[in-house]
Order: sequence, then C-alpha cells, then structure tokens
Amino acid sequence: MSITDKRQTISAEEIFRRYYRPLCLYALRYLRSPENSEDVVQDCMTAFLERWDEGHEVADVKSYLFMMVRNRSLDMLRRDSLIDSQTTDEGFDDVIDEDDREEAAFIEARLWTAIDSLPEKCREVLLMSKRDGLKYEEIAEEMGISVNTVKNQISKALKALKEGCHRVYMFFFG
Amino acid sequence: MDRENRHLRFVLKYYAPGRFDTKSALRAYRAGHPAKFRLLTRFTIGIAASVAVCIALGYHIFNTGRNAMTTLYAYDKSVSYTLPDSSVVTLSPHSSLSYNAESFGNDSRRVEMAGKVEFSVTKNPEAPFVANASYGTVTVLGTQFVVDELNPDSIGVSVTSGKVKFTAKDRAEGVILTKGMHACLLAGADTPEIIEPTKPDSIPDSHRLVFDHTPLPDVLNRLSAHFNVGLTCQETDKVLTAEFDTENLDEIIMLIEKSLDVKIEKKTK
Repeated sequence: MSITDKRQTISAEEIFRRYYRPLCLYALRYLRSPENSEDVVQDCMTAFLERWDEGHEVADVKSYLFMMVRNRSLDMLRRDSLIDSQTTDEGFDDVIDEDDREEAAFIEARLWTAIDSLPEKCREVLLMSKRDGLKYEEIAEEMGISVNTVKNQISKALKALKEGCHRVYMFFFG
Repeated sequence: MDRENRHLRFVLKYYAPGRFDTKSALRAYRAGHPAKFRLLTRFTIGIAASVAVCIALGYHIFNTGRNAMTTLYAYDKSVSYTLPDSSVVTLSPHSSLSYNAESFGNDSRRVEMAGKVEFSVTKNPEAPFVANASYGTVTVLGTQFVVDELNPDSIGVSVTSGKVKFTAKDRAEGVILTKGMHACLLAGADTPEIIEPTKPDSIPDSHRLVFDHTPLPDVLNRLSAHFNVGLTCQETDKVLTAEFDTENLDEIIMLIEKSLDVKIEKKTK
C-alpha cells in the first residue's frame, strides 16, 4: 500500500470514528428506529465522502454532516407518513429541543461507547435492570448470582458510565 | 444530574451490543468505495480554513481560501435565490445548492444540489447550466425545470419550459426532456426513464392503483377484486383520492383508514 493509500484510508476512518455514532444517535432522535438511523447515516456519510472525493471543500464537516442527517431523517419521516405529514414527538418522554440535539448526540455517543466497554456480565446486568426494567431479584435468579452481586455490578456500571460521560478529551467512537 | 440521566435513559432504551458499530459501517463503506478514501490533510484544511456568513433565512458562504464554494440552504420554508448569472433557484424546505463563486458563469454554470430545487435558468449558450444531483446530472441552455431528489432512491426532473438533457452522473447518454415532460432516475440506473402522465381512475399497471374522488364502496370493491378478499366498511359516504404502488393490502388498508378516519373489515374469501 502506498503512502497516499494509507493516508486516504486513515481519513475515511477518522471521519467515521468521529461522527458515525453521534450521527446515528442524532438521527435516532428524529426517526426512533435504530435500523433507519443507521441507514440514513450510512447514506449521508457515503454521499458526503463521494462529494468530497470529487474535490468539494467543506468548511465545517461536522455541521455539514449533521445538516445532511437531519434533512434526510425528515425526508424519511415525510415519505413514510404519506398522508399525515405532520411528524411529532408526541408519546415520547425523552424529547429534547432541536437546538440541543447535536450536543446531546455526542454525550450519548460517549455513553454508548462507555456501555460497549463495560465487562460483559456488568453490561448485561445493567441492561436487564435499566433497559428491561427487571427487579434485582429477577436478575439474580435469571443470571444465577446473588442480589448483592447484582447491586454491585449495577453500581460499578453506573460509576463507569458517569466517568465515561465526563471525559472531555478528544474522544473517538470506535 | 437529571440531564445526564435523561441521556442515559435514551441510550439504554435503544442500546444493543453491535448496534451503531463504527467499524462495521466503515467496512460497508469501504466495500462499496475501494478507491475513494479521503486525504486527512483535506479534512484538516476544511476545518481550519473557514469563513462562514449566516444570514437570517439561511444563506451560508463557505470559503476555504483557494476554492470559494457558496452554499445556499432552505431550512423550514422554501426560499428563492438569484445566482450570479441572474438565474433563479427556488429551494424547497431542507434543500441545498452550492456553486463555486469564483468560476461560476465563466465558461460553465455548474451547481451541486440536494433535495428539491426549481430552476429558472437564463439563456447563455456560451456557458451551459449544469445541475448535479447526488447521482444524476441535468444540462440546459436556458429553461425552467424542477429537480427532485427528496426520495433518496430516485431523482425526478420536470420541465416547465425549454429543453434539458438528463443523464446519470458521469454518463453521456440520457434523455431529452421538453415542456411538460417528466423523467425519473433510479439509484444505480444507467439512464433515466421518461414517465408518462398517469390517467385518473385507471390502473396503468398491475402494481399501481389510482383513485380520483372515488366513492369508498367502489374503492373497496376494486381492492377486493384485485386482492381476492372481501373488504367492507360501515362508512359509505366518503370518497378517496389516492395512488398506491404497493402490493401490500394491509398497508393500503392502514393508509385508507388513517386518511379517511374509517374502520375497514377484511375477510378472506
């Protein structure tokens, strides 16, 4: 592989690692579907990199990508609700203002990555408790561990997530 | 703390191992673009060298110093702009159009667009007007037309006056469209297809069902015959104007119920 090839490979990787996951979480705020969010972001990043490859210079890559993802998400919502074009967040209890969604996407991408990096058992206990709403006793029975261990694992997971969320240095979402 | 918890709740609600996986996404991109990875230096230059001017309705100028790209946006409302050659572009909501401010109009008028844009192009045979959508290109000398790529799977072009040539990107062969004509380019296709206008209350092909102010009982009779089922509804005084290009009956029923606020009973014959 030539030096040029190597540098080119790094570039696409950089852009994906910086923005792919935040963009997915950003799209998720609009679409409420992880699968559709992944599709929209993949399409946008591909289109962006293709245009860039043709020599387009973009002053603010981040803003450009977020705008593309927002527009395509809204397009998808409009297309999928053929008759009722008014899309709302009604019925969701985790709605945040549009202006704050970009910042939220990076915070949530860090949290997502922090969950990814938890030990497997710790992550499983956390998800059963906080995502699936199971009681400590139910988790203990399901996993064959004591209730105290469940509590410890959840406490450990939340501590790790809090630390992950507070990291302020340049963070890649690999 | 509450804000942090809100973010965490949102993440946990949708979290699944392997979802939103950057490496998989990158692999998928590389599989389709083996020779199109970008230079890191360009990325750095793109961020470092920037001058952005934002005017209330969404007029942005990105200037990288060497290569001045002007990008026009429409956010929530349609906006019309006049280009340096006096051509007028009307951007539908959430659409964008960009051009090189330094070279535009010299010997060509090349613009890049996304979304849906109506063009009213001034005549200038010396500098053809070229509109590039994501994977299609329209070349004109002076005319009025609309390019619509709001649906990511296809690009539609409608000509109001004059004559345009519509091709897939980087292809020489395409279709010539004149006043009143419409063509569609599907993603991945080599050439666009000219779309014939649909006649109301007819079935142009077996996959398309068109209703124009049709009484609901007639709609249900036609659907029943088409799908070999029995469809009934208590409401008989409603009329439907719709076009379905799906063979999914449940989806059609759901759309009719939603649009007319009725309940349709289905019985298998």
